[in-house]
Amino acid sequence: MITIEKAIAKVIASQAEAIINDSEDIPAWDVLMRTKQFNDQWQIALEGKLDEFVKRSASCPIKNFLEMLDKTMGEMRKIIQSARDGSMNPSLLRIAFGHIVFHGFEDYGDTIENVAKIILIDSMSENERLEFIDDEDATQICQ
Amino acid sequence: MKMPHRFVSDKEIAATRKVFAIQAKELLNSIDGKDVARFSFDAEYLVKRWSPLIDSTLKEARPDVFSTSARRLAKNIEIFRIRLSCIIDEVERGKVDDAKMIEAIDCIQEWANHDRETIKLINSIMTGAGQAPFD
Repeated sequence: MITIEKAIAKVIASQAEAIINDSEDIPAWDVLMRTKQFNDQWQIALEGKLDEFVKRSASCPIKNFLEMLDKTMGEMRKIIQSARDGSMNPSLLRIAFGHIVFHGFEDYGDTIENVAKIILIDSMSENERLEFIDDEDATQICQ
Repeated sequence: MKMPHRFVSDKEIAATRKVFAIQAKELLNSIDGKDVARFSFDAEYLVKRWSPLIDSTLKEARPDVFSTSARRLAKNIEIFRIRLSCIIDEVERGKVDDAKMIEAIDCIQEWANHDRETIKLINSIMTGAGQAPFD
């Protein structure tokens, strides 16, 4: 049975991965804004690892900005790694998710739904899972 | 029918060349110091304001952080830097003909409502005493 902490870590990893995958092709400013949003959302669980990068990127000169963006993506990769190998602090993951739930569906609907989906899928039988997995989103978060 | 240009003195053309060079050099020098959003706005402003002097290569390479991917941005900065330096050189050395410069002056005039500073700078260079004949 999957724990809620593991489900939360999975969602963190998939959100960070989505930002990294898009980072080369979408406008550089959007990468920064998405990273900032990600950081605001998971700040407690991330233990401030992205704070400095996000803060400095917005106000640094254009030349350093690219370097800073690169470093930020490097930090995001480390976050993905620790979310996957289970080394993120479980208490902080719970607190961070509590903060998201507290703010509700209006602000963080997708995140709450994705954590719930992972827990739900884990509790399903093989047949139920195969039916459910037709849903594209579910396929993605199961990976 | 194309309307003939108003009379523009050689002094005004020379002053416009100088002002373009001042503003473009200022932008070039700010690449390493100005924050990323400010630089994007300033580059857009320069390209629009001096549109007749700006070619398509420079327009396409404008380092706009709001619409350019990180992958392209690095290349654009280099192209923008090189191309803008060439244009500054051409304008300063008088390789850009007077007709183009008159177009640039007209463009600045169209922007007059929100670009009083450029007009004032051209006028002060022309008169040498800060007098502004357009005011």
